[in-house]
Amino acid sequence: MGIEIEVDHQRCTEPEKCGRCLKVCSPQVFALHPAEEDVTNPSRWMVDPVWVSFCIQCNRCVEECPEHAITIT
Amino acid sequence: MCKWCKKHGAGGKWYLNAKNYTDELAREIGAEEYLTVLWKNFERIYVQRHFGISAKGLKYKLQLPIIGKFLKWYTEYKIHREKNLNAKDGDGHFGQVIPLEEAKLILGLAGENEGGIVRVKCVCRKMNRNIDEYNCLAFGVLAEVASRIPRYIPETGVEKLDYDQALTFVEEMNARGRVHTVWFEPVPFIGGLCSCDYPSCTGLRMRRDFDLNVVYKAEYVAMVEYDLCVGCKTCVTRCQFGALNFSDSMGKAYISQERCFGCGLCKDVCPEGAITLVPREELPGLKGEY
Repeated sequence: MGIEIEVDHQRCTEPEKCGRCLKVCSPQVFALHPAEEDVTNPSRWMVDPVWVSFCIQCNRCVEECPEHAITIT
Repeated sequence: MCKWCKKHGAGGKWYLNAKNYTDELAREIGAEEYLTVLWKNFERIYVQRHFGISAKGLKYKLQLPIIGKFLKWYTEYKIHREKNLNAKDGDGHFGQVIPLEEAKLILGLAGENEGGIVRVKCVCRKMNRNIDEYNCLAFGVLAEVASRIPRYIPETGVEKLDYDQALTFVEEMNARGRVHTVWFEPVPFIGGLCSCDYPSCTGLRMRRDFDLNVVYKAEYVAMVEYDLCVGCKTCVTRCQFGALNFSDSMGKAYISQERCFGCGLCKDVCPEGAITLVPREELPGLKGEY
């Protein structure tokens, strides 16, 4: 445990168009998912860390995110 | 023969039992309602809760001495149960790896239903890597349900295939190195045939990284005939399961039968025909190891 990854959804607004974190993450920690209240709306996607225990803290997602929305602590 | 063959195989393998593909069975177990909820919520399953339990720190949780054991038992109970299913959690949705030959047999069985065969863009790949790619074949009721979900509307996410097109599709996927998997959704109705790779396929990730039986190993294991293997290394890029490597000291391919999932991808490219698939049940040391 110990690792906390946070995605600031105020900054990350168009993850489906961007998707940098999903592609640069070697252990594939992140997942793209629709918003809970609107699951069938294909335009409302969000990114969240799911497989946090695989994170190796390489910080590539932090560096790659154009909106600086990811923090790892 | 695996547990599910005994239960739903009518004396054979579960995925070769024609009854498991029928619209009648789907109606009987309410597959349409189940699939509508499951496919609408697919990408959310792992975000909030994994089969009822948060996936965050799952590895750590499963390693806890007593709680971990209970958690594994409970998760597997949820995955495999056949009644009172919570479609939002993906209860009753699990599958098995199969070789190409059996994937082809499945297309023959599945194409006879009203919904026919459609190919859909893979939810796992969308979720895990934001890749829009046709990867999965859906049958019967699922073919109809998928076509109604906004994300898979015909012009963007669903494409109808006839038998020959579906056959070409699985062959192409095999050539590209994808593992064929067949899925209960929900058990015992068979809704799909996917072309998976690790770790983009969430099922394979759950199995390999957490040892949760979301995907079972195939009814076969691959074995190298050492007299025939010339050490050309053609097969070494094909294994998704870390079961095959080139043994430099022997100058031949080496397969760990303990790790092998029996997908047959290595066998399909061997120019010498040196790799064979042996039924798991014929090997006493592997019997029941799925």
